[in-house]
Amino acid sequence: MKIKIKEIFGEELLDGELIRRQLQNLPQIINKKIIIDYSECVMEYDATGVITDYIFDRFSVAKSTPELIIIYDLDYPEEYLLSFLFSETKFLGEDTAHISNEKRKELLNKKLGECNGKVIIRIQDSSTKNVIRDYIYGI
Amino acid sequence: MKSLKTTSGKKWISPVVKTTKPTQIKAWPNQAGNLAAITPLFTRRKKTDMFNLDLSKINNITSSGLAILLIRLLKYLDDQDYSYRIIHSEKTASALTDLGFYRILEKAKAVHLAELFEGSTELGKQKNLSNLLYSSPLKYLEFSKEIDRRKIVRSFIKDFNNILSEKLNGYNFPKNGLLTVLNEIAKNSADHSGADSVFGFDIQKITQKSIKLTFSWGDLGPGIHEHFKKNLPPEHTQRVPYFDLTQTYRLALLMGNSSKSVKANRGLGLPTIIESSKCINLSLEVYDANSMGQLNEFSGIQKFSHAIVRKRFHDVGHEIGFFYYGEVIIFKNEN
Repeated sequence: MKIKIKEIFGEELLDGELIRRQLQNLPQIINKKIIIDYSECVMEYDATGVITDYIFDRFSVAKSTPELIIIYDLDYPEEYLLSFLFSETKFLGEDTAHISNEKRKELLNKKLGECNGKVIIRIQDSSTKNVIRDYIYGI
Repeated sequence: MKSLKTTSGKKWISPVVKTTKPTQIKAWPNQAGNLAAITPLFTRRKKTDMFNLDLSKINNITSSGLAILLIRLLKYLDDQDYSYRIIHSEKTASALTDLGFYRILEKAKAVHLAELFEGSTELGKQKNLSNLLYSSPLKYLEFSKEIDRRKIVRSFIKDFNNILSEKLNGYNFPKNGLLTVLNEIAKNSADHSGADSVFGFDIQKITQKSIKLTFSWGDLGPGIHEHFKKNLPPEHTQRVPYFDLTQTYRLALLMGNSSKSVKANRGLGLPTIIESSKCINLSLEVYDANSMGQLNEFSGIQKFSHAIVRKRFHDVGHEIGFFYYGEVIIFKNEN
């Protein structure tokens, strides 16, 4: 199941509160494999955190093993992406904005291990859509 | 001299002037792009209550350059009530009016403006101005008057996204990268300084297949260095007397270091600006106090030594306020 964020929330993901109120616009999660495509979006860590938490919450309600692929079209370094997508989320825990990247990665792998989950952060070229690299966490 | 009138069309009445000689502010001829940042502006340091703002020699203006000029001017004039006499050529006056320069100057300051037309300098003589495809009117964001400052930021990004969508059709450029940079810059001004900000943006033709986007964003706040120094974490407070600009940026550049300890600020401000700039090959300069730093030479995830930060910051030679200047060349889609 692929969710193109731009088509649901628009290009500007700038208001975490607004995104929280519009979460019901996301399609119901029935598959165990979800692709969240943030291409062409202006990202704001408040908003991305809200979406991350919602997806993991749905996985948990559906009692399914989460497999999440997050697509983005800007080639940020891994450390930055992890902080951007997972810091201060319910899934990873509060007070995770100021921990080291190694700790954040360790924590993410640990949390994913607890639910046999897997997360892939996929960087793709903005024009060709070719995959540039994958960062893989969990099993 | 051709005429003397106020910008609102009313007859010029000389205000009460306590001093005999007005302070001279004379802008250099080239106010395009970041040249506006490095040219000296004030011929006399002593301020009086009346200014002669001489813009008559300007022969090259861009929106991004004008935003810098305006920020420097507003910062220099601080909060006092002055009277101004503006000296400019008719062509300069028309270009400055179109770009919103006087509108903002009058809005930001309770000014008494008077115009003096002088000189015959014509705009558009210089090559880069004739290649100017688009100059946005200056955007003035009044953070100081709004409680929900993030609302202003969101509205600014939405408007600018619309401009980019319209102007960059057919070009290969991930505009979300540039919007992310600007969103973060605007948020920093809104959250940390809360001071009014000015934004200018231009599109310049480079070749048949390429264009250059330039922008500048400045705010009237104290700048990163002063703000960071005043809001140092407790473990650093004893270092305040020795805290120089290099030390500030060394800490501010690192992910997780924020001068505001609210949840919305995770110390990702400058790292986001830098990493997003690198993703889109944006050359980004920050002007702070009397220095200029090339931000895309840094990284938001790596710790830099004091020596390296110092090496990548340059002394401008005069107080310049606080602003960013960015430029990026983009190409047409091949198919």
